[in-house]
Amino acid sequence: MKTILATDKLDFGYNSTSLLLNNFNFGIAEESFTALIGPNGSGKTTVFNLLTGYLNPLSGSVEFHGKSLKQLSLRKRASMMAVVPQSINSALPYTVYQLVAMGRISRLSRFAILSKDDKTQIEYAMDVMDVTALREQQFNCLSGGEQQRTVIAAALAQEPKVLLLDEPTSSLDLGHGNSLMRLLRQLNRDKKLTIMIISHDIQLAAHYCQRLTLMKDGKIIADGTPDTVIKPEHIMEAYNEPVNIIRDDNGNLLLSPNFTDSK
Amino acid sequence: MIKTSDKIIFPIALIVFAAAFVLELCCGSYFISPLEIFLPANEALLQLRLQRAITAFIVGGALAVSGLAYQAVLRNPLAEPYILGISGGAGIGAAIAIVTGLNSLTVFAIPGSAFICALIALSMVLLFARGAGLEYTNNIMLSGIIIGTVCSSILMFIISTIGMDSLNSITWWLLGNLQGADSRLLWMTGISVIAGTGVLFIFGREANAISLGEEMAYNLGVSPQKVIILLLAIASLMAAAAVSLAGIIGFVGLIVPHVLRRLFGAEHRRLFPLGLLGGGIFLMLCDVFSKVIYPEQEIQVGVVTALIGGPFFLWALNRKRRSAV
Repeated sequence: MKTILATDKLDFGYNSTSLLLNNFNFGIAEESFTALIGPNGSGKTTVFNLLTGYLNPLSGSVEFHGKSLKQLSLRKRASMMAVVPQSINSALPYTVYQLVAMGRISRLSRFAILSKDDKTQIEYAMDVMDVTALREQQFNCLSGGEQQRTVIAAALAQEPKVLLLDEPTSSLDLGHGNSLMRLLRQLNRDKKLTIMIISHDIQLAAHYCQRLTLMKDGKIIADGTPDTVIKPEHIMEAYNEPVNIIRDDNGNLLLSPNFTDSK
Repeated sequence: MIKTSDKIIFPIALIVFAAAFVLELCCGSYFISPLEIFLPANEALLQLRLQRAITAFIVGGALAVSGLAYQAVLRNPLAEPYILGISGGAGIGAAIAIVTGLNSLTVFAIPGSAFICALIALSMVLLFARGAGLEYTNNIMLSGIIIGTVCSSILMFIISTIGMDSLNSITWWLLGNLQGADSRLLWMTGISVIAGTGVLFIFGREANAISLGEEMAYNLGVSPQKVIILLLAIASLMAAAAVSLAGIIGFVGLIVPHVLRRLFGAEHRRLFPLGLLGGGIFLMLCDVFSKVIYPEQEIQVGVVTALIGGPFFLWALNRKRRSAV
């Protein structure tokens, strides 16, 4: 598969003397479903924000389809790459429809009104994320799961080629988290959407993603299919925590941490 | 929230505007019926009241639209046009023009001086505000409060050193005054306010995006820095123009946006034009109230808006606190 989004010899730090990322190379293939995993402070969110262009590297570049991300205008970028933050907080009372419609901003000229095509895309995005029934509800009165689905619907309304999600299941319960991941896999398979997520839920990521990238201290320590990444030695190295890795009857990987008082 | 299309809302708003405008023309130290006010015999009175009604509309509209923009950028429904020190700066400007006697040389002295000093105060606020994201918007508000307080102290110092005549003029100006605006100034301000509202309307979608935070705006394809600066600049110029024309009229930029959002939602492409109409209507009605409540001694409109706005502000604050719990 062709690489769609990649970093090339990236250096990043908030000052040049202590780099968080040094000569960092990472790429995601077209139509893939990747999860960036690792302990807190491993640099996942930094990589995520560099890939979206929200942070600028000290040196090196981020490339989208082989073109430097910097060469693309913000609008062009947003029409190809949608980003879902961990949470958004609206102080103003937007309805679900209004918020999803904001996904069309990058495709509309300043003087344009929503065309029939725009409205179709908004309806489609709301339908896929199952928020059509909530269209007139105020976004800031919804539950965490409904808000998450609404923000993803706004991202889908952008008609992106790549969808990046920052810990999409972190505020969701077991059932909602599972169903969201199922939906993302469906979008990846059926709509050929390239998806990358940051996740702390290794089991969920291992089950739904084709590729896992395990990071620690700004470096990739394991990268590949879930089977090759989810190994006790990798988990020990990344999290400094011994785990047993079990397979259930369906072949799903299960992680069992050490629950005793001493390591 | 009222679920109605723009095709219905705007004609209704225009009808309400027309009614408030006629009411403003009919009311004064004495009432004249709508049928009589347009008679040739009342032409001079009509001219005076017409000018006052237009002033009320422009000033009210400017403050409401400015409040809407501030609240979107600062992501705080309690932000208002004077939060960035504009009123304090303008107050000093007006006081300087009055104390130095410049106001007796030209009608442009007080508005001009107020406008310039408002912009100086605003520039200082923006100069001192640092940081990124929510930290930046919080710092802007904090700097605004500090600069505003410093300006108030300077104004108090000026007031404490001047004679009775100047004191009356400054107090009259500080309480908000819709009377006797120079027609050239009125035209200039009117055109600026309508043009400013037009630009804000064009950037309405960007205002929606920025109200969700800088990162979300960026993700949606909006340049946060550019849009924040543009919206703040236009909103501040509109507020400064309104203050220069009519003095400090408080709470319009807080009440009207709140009511409009409750009635029509938060979409800014709809809210900015409605803000112009709604703010204008509100201030015209407050002015009618200020004229009829005590006809022998007219009350300044700033007193009326503050009397309504104070309790409203407390209610809004309490409501926000409760929703945050």
